[in-house]
Amino acid sequence: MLSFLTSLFASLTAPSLRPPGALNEKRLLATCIKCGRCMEVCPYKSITLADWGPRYGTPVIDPLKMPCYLCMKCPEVCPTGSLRKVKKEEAGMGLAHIVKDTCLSWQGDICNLCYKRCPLKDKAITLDDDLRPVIEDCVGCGVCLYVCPTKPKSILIKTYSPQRRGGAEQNI
Amino acid sequence: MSKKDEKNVSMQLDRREFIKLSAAVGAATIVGYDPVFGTIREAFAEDAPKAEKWFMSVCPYCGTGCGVNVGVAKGKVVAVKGMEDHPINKGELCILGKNLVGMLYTKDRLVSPMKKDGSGFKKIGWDEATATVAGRFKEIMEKNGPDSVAMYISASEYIEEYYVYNKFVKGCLGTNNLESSARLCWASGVVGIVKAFGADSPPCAFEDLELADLFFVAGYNPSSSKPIFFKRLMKAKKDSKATMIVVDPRKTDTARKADVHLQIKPGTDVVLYNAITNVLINEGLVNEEEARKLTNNYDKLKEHVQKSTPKYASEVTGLTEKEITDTARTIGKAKAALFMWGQGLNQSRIGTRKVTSLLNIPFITGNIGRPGAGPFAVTGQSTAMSLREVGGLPHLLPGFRAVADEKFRADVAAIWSVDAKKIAPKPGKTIVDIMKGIEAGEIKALWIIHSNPAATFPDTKWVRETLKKTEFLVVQDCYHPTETSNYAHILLPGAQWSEKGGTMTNGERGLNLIEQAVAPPGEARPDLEIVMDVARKMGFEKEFPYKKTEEIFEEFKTCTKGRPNDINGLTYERLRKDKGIQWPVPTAEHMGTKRRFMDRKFPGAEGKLNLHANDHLEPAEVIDGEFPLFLITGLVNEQFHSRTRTGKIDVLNKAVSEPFIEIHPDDAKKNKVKESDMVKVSSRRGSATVRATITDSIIKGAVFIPYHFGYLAGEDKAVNNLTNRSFDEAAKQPEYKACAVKIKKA
Repeated sequence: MLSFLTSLFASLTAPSLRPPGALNEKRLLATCIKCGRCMEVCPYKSITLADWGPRYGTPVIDPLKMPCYLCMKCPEVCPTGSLRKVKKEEAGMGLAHIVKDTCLSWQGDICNLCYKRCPLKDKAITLDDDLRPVIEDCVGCGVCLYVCPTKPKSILIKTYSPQRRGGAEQNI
Repeated sequence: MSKKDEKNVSMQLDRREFIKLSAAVGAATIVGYDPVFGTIREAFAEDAPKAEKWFMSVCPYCGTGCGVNVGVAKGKVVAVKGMEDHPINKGELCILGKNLVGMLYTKDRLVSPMKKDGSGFKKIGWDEATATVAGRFKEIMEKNGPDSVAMYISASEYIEEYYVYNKFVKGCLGTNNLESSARLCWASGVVGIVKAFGADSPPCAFEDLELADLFFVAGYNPSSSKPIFFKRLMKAKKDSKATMIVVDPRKTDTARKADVHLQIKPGTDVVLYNAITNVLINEGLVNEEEARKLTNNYDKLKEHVQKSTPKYASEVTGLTEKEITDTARTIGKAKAALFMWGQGLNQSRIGTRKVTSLLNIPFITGNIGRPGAGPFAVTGQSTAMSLREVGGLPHLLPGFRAVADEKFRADVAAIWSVDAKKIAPKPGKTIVDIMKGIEAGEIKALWIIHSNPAATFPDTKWVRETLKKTEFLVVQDCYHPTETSNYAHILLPGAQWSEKGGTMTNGERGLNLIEQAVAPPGEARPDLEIVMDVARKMGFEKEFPYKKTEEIFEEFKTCTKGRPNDINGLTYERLRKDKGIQWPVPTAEHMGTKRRFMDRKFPGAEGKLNLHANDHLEPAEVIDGEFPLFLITGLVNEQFHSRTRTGKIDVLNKAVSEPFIEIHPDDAKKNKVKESDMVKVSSRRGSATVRATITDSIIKGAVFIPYHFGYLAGEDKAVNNLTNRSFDEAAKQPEYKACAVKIKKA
């Protein structure tokens, strides 16, 4: 119950992603030594260190400010293995969801910025025959959310994905 | 249901969706959704004040020509929406069209005339500005002759503007040095069409997309350059179960949707098309009797392509023999095939050869003069078609008239009421020769209107030095600074789209009316008024008596009488009703011409089409040990040309904010470059430092960098630092698609 409340608190205060290859939330909080190397190596300055709450000092990515482009440099420098060295297809940061009610392409125009900029084009997002974006094997890097031009955004990202759940445990 | 209710419902759905999602995964968070206020706040935020009045217009970006309505409130454009009853887009817009408002009210709008003062600029009045331009042009021409001045315009102006510029330069100044930036994008394509058809005559219509059963797309990426056109193409493809073959060294978003993608080595198109022709002829897929009746030089071509066997072609192009023969068979069996091409063919040293080699294929297979078949070239800039009709190029006069023809000069001089001797018989200089002319001291004054050669021309370093040498440089633009405006002696504030009215022709010869919705900001003025003001100050009052753009349109109409683009049946009034009507429209009862050459009578010799037996030629600069990679430049969906417009729109800049280089994984490994590293790309002319994207969408041995970024984005960000001053042998179009570079981790 306590862990549920903690995670709820975290989710309300800091809705953000973990860097690619991160362990599940419980293990990440246990192993991360808050050294900030992942933040330093990130070429896009996507990674910041959470500044308060239970996640204090651990790396987070706010895709509305700057998403992850899956260059996979941060797991390389992680000294504790909190960020696992995985392929970008297995980054397991989350899972995007397209809100068709507001998505320009689903509503008859054509936009597809999410598809055009997706680092895993044709794997994570595909276009159907009518050129509308469809989420497939998404890892939740957040680029689609970042570039989505609608207000409100037509992309939501769950900080959970089958890849990240990986072994046995569930996210958060 | 009112609009507000709709919003409420959609928001409820969002929230329901959200709750469902959250429930599914326990306490997983949802990023992009401020659970307390975020979405609610955004959903109720009014984007813009409500438009008080709507004006009809056309999107000014690409050659598709989508109709838009422009909403105005308190003298400002506040909204743009797709025109529901426009035949091209039926209310749909792409992401550039959706964000049109963003380019109008930017911080860097040029709002008053300026004069170079030391290293900076100081504001001056209109009188002083136009008098200076008129005086200096007059002075330079008196001293050095009329050919010492030149005007360089864009291919996004309106018919009326092209007409005024043309009359001013060719009819009044007496030089043919009127050049357009269309030289950089469709020159080879148009010269190829002229060679093959005997005249500039785009035959097809967008409706042909629905009637074709094969799309052959060569060096063309409409998914990024013309999204609305591509959407229609894809819908047609799905409905009629048509096949799409894409030829491109890159796996573009268009190629990703193709049934067959022929990923050829850069620059080897001529060999591929000759080999396809070879297979078509040798496998009896060509009706030879019909082909001889339809074309000139059939037997010459037949003999010429014998050496281009699929085996030979597979060695040169890197495709397999099977791919080539299968493609030829698909084309041979198609009932109606559309052949589309783009800059991949045009922007080459042998662009014209590539285009004519491609055109051989529809000609011999009889894919011409029938619904759903033919070569279909949709121009990249919005009014490149208008430019050709009005003759805004160094060798043309209005109505597709060649300036070299004495009778044509007399015709036009009579309409312009100028002395026929005033129009020079010798074609003027292309932008390449204008630049070389400045370097050699032959061109003293250059007037650039809405164009940005310092960003778009190959070999930036050379262009910038050349512009610096210009004795008198006038830049007329909506924005300052641009890469080019920094070099100006006089800056004239022009009007942006919607701040001036006129007509434009899209890629399928359709005319559309653009209403002036608002006044230009500050002291900026519609561009043709500025040019006419200068002309009047030079003593050409009687040539420019116009009070309204409509009068100019009426005068241009008389130039088209009896010409291929006869539009005497059109008026502004009719264009308000008949949107996108396709020329020729000779009379008021005429309903426009969907397809041309349905009678299969062509303007070329003997009323036939011309086939061309072309040889392959390597690019001017080939890869070697020192520079082992081919550089291909091209566009991205989110930016347009040198970003003078799209570079100020947040939504688009967010998506592509900096130049990048696409590298094949093998080449990356060889050069020890990893994803997202900064990479220094060098050629014999300069270097650029850009971010690496490792992807197999580019063919091995080549790299791709988008061309949108000029030196204002950073001295080492401009891809044209690298590109080569090599030009098409016939059309003088720069070879942007092939130069040799090396890469190194920065």
